[in-house]
Amino acid sequence: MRHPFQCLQACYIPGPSRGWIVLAAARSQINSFALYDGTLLPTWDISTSKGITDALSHSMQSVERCEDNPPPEKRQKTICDPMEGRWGAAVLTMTATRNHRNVVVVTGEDKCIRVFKLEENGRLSLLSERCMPKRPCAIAITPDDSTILCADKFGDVYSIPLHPSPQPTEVVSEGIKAGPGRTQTPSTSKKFVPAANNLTVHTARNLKALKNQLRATNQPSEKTAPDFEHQLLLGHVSMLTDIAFVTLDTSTSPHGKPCSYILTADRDEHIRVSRGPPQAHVIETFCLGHKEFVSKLCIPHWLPRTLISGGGDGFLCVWSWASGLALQKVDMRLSVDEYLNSCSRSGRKNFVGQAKPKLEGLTGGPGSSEISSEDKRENPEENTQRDGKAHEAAHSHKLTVSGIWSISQTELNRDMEGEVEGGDILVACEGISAIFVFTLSMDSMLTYRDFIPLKGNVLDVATFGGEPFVIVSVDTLHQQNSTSTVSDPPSQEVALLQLLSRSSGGSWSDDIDAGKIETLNQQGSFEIKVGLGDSQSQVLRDLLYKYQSLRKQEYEEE
Amino acid sequence: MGGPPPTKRQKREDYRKARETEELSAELPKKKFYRQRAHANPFSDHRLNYPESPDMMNWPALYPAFVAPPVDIEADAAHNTNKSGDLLLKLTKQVEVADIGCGFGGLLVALGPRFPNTLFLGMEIRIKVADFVQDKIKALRTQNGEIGGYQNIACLRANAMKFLPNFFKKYQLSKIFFCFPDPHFKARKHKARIVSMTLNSEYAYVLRPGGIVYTITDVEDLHKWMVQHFDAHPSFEQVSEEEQDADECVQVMKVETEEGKKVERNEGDKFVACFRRLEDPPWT
Repeated sequence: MRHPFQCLQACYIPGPSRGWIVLAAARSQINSFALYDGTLLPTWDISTSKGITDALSHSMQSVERCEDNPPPEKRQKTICDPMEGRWGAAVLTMTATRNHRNVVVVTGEDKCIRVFKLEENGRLSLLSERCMPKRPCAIAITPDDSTILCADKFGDVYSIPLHPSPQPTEVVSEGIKAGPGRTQTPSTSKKFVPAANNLTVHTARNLKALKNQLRATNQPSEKTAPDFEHQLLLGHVSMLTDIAFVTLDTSTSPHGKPCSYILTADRDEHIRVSRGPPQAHVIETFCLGHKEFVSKLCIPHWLPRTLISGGGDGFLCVWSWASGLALQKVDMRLSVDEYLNSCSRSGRKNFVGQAKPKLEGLTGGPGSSEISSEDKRENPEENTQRDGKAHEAAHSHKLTVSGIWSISQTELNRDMEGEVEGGDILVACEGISAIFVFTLSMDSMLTYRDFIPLKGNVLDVATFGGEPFVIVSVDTLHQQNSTSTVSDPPSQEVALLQLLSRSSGGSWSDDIDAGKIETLNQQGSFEIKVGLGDSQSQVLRDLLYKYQSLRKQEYEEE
Repeated sequence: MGGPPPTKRQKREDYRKARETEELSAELPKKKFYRQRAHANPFSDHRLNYPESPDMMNWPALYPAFVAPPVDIEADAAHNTNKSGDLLLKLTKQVEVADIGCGFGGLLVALGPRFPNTLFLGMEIRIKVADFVQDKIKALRTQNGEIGGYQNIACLRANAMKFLPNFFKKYQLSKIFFCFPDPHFKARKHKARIVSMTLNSEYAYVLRPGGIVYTITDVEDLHKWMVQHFDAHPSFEQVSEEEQDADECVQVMKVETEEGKKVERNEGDKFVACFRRLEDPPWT
């Protein structure tokens, strides 16, 4: 069995006889694949920081290597490596710049943002590595391709230039004025003086802490700030889950001139709308309505004033985001139920046993796709009555929207003269082996169309600008619609990728002519043992199904 | 054979029960039955109750004396009902002052009668401390029923660092108080401080232009930190000392908070700083 691709990114190489490249990441390994002629290009491995089939040129010398200045305090989380380092830092996201000349790759374990150049022959070459102070969760690139916005696990958003300046410059912090930003604190060697004195402390614990502080001859060294240019733009007191940068042009902007915004989503149900730099300290509004963590933000570029968000509550929300107004809420349970029911009807052998408990939990959701003002926050009494197991079971039935992708019809029908009818929205839910197709009209109405059953749980989707097809990465290591049961190969088709295409009538289906991606499907990624050991399979599960762990484990402090 | 003596926990529970059932509710609560650790971790997932958005907040439950008479019940019911079908009534006025980390509620109780037509909300993350303030307000309201006293103050158990925008709309508040906040001495814990560059943006969001942030602490280092961070934030400017000294709220804040009294007993220092919320800059 091969390691599934946890994320995908399409890039276009301009010029004659050039075309689409697919980047597919399996753990720390990035496969490049030329879609135009079906050849596998040299592979890059993040954990060894070198091309596997193609050693990197000497230009590497100029690269700032993060090993030279590892974060001093915390030990790096490293996963030992049975497969030549491929269990190292895993790729979380890959984002192409608008001009498709660069690809920005984020890895979790080493908190690193790597910028690659996409060479004309489709190869990746590493330009820079920058290790962020906290683990990045999502990034956005400004439309002028100059700046990366990095949203991290600690709730902060930093901006860093796409290409670091050659000389490590003075750290600038303009978005929020220089000086007191906590990461900008310069390391000083002055003698440590405790902040408290005998008059300020009130409790026995405080007093003890003060004594300990006084006893310590010197302050333990705090984390030093990154030595590359970075600015703290804004922050939540919650883990960030997604970020979007939008520029409204004169025709769509509420202020009669082009305006930029940063949208940030967090684990505490918030979507915040801030102004773009240099006024990122101004919060314009919040989009509040999700009942669990927000997982994804999608702003279709053909409808830039509309936001579709997905959450751990299994809902899609459609927003007029500039005013914080909720336009529509769509419960994914209805569509997912329909799909799961169809699976059990078709009586797939290895599916039934798995799906039954799931169905019980999933049916009986409210049938409303309108805005419902009902408050489903569990009341504390209910919570305390439940024992641990019941709690866990309830959670496993909860749906999480894990991906939202937009494809405009104008692009799809670009050769046809005709009215603009909006576009398609593809939605994936964590641990569900189907893609759900919606239509988003130009007046921001989201309508469910149908589902496309796939060979395994959907991990990521690559879209190709205006092309009427997408590539879906699927997990066939686990059983369909399960994130914990390892599959039983003879009874389940094995695949890494599936090609979906859109007919002229507008319906999406599994492309029979998937020959284009056959090489990547056969030779991409790397072998892993099917009977994964416990720790390994957990590592794999955490990588493929990262949203599960975001659910709150509420408790009461004494 | 009376069995083991009741534990502190048991005593606390009995006391709280007695307050609910018997006619103890007019008596001021005793702090010893509401003890809790002095600090709470603002990053952890407490079992909190907070509204999905400010519109969903049940304010009438907190300020029953300020409930607006429903104009058209049927029309209101169609729009403003929550899950249990309760009509979400509106108040005649909005909450305008927030005391973040209100502790045992000294400031609320002192300011409430001085501004009887302004609604004050105390927010406290420690559940038992918030319970104490709620019981105290209940008792004060009962004691002062004839004159309708203390109807304009209320307290909620809440994590203001995470959920402030769930309670307050943009520009809703005119004053925010931070009285003797947790100093979080260790630099590693500075993100947990109630004042930071990034959180100040949230305070600016709920505070109207011209509104005032009040801070007081006995820790000079924290005072400097707060001044530095509000000063550096483009949405705030520090209020001059003359204006500060002339502000009635500053005097009350110095004397009437529990911590303020404690510091007085210790003959410690008190550092005060106030900041004005500026207009948002024009779009560039």
